[in-house]
Amino acid sequence: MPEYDDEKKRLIIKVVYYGPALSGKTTNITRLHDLLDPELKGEMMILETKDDRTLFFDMLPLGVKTKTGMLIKLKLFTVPGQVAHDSTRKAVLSRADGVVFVADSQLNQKVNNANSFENLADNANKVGLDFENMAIVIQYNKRDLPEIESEDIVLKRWSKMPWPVVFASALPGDGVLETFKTLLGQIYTRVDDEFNLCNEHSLTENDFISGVMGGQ
Amino acid sequence: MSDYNKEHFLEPYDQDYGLLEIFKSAGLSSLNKLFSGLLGDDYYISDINDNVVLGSKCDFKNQLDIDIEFEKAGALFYNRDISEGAVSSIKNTIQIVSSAYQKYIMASSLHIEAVHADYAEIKLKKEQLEESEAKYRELSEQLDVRVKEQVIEIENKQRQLYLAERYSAIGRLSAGVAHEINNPMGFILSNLNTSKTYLDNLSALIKMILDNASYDDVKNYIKSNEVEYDLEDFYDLIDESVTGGTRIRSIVSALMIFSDVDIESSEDVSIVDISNNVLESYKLPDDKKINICINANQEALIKCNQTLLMQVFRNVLSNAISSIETEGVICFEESLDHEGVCIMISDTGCGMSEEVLSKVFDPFFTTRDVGQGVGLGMTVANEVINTMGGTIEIQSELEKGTKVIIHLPEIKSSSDAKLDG
Repeated sequence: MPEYDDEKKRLIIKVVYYGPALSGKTTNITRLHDLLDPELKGEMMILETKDDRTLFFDMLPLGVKTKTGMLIKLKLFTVPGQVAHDSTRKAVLSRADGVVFVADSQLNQKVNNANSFENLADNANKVGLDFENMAIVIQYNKRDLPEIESEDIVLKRWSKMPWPVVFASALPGDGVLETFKTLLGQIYTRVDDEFNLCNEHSLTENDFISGVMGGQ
Repeated sequence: MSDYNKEHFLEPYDQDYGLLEIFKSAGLSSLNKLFSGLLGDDYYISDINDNVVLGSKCDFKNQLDIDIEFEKAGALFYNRDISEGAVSSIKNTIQIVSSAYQKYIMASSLHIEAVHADYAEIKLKKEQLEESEAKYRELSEQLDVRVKEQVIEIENKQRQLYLAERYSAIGRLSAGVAHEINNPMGFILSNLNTSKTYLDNLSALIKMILDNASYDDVKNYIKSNEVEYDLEDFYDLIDESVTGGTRIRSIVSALMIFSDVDIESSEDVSIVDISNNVLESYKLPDDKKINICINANQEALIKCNQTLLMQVFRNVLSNAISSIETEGVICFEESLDHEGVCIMISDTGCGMSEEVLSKVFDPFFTTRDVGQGVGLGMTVANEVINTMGGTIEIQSELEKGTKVIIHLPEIKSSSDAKLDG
């Protein structure tokens, strides 16, 4: 659940980009940093090793102020995708309010995607997240590459799941905003239920999304 | 904060950090040198709660707010008048420094969190492992007990089965005995009754003679009462009764063996000795030419009841001899197999048909002429060997001969090596 500090009138929402190694999680938030124009945009914190693999996490803080003066702060994190870093991945995932699962569309990555999603479900349960009911968006990334799974097959596979699927090519930036927007919608519903954003802070879903994304 | 962090007093890595925490991990002296160079000695930085994090508190003319993640995190207080560009540079420097150290703190906190979680998981796995180990230990102990219980149960069942078989064998035997004894007893009694009427007639005749009856009267009496015939028949009746009595006696003596069967007196004996003893006590018929061969190890000893085993040999030998019409060979052979010792008594006699073979152990089954055998020899042999825990098996072929193969389980030998020889 988001962290609300009544005294400081501040709500912190944590979003985690999860997925198999090299599926484009860091690229996603890097593009968001470039493309978003929110009221408040912090510096991106990148902790990469020399071969560009995330070892701990990347972080991008974003903020929006409501008319009532409340600061809503979004912290976007990426997990390290490599299998070996599972305990770090689990720790990064803790306390998440929304998850973007970045899958790799390439045909040879099917097994990695499945394993990573299973690992997400597993770790979510381990760190005490309500996986069934939390805000999750599935992003099929790297649509610009050859040898990828067709949209039909992907959609059919996920059709029985409650989570929306978005197709993206994060490197050129396609679908990155749409993914994020879809997730913001889901998060808003859940946060509004708990903190009554609309009535108490006059923050509608549109206000929230446009505040975070900046007129996109 | 997650339950895990609470339990281990760990600050979550993704919390908001204040200036105090950030600067605590920075190299304060080099930062102090940097800011003194720009602002002189009369400057300080305090966090949102007025804690001095760098420099020392002093009077100030100018104030510059420091923000971290869209919120005021503290301020820089200084006296020196500097250009707007320099202020902006200082602000950026503070931002860069605090961001770098925040990153460092977050990464190290995350690392600690992950290591703790790893450790907790390993600890949990270890506990689970110990638990399952204990469970398996318990299971294996239970298994041991259960196996022992089952072995006892199986042994009981086997004993019951053995007893049931014995009872049924005794039942069959009793029925046979009743029949075999009843038959001669019947005609012995009938003969005795008839004999009594003969004796009455003879007594009356003697009385007549003693009363001085005339010769003619005596002659008439003898003729009219067929006393001569009676006397002749009287002898026949007595002969027949003696035969019947003898038969009953041989049945009873065969049955005596059964009363000894359960006596568990075992001794170490050699097959050679037993065979020789049996042959000595058994008179081979003069009208047949029979060669005896014994192929066994004098040194090899088996543990059993010698008297009973001799009885078995005697019964088998008796059958072997009667199967040989004029001449033949009877062999006693001993060998070892993986279960114990195997004794084979073979003959080159007339052999048996399958029908005869199937009845060979039945009590009172005999192929010999009336009065030649009671049909208990192989029944007794079978009973004795079974009681010793062994088996007896017969292979036979008409006109070729018969092999009686006896397996005995328990071997006791003064030297196993010798037994092999």
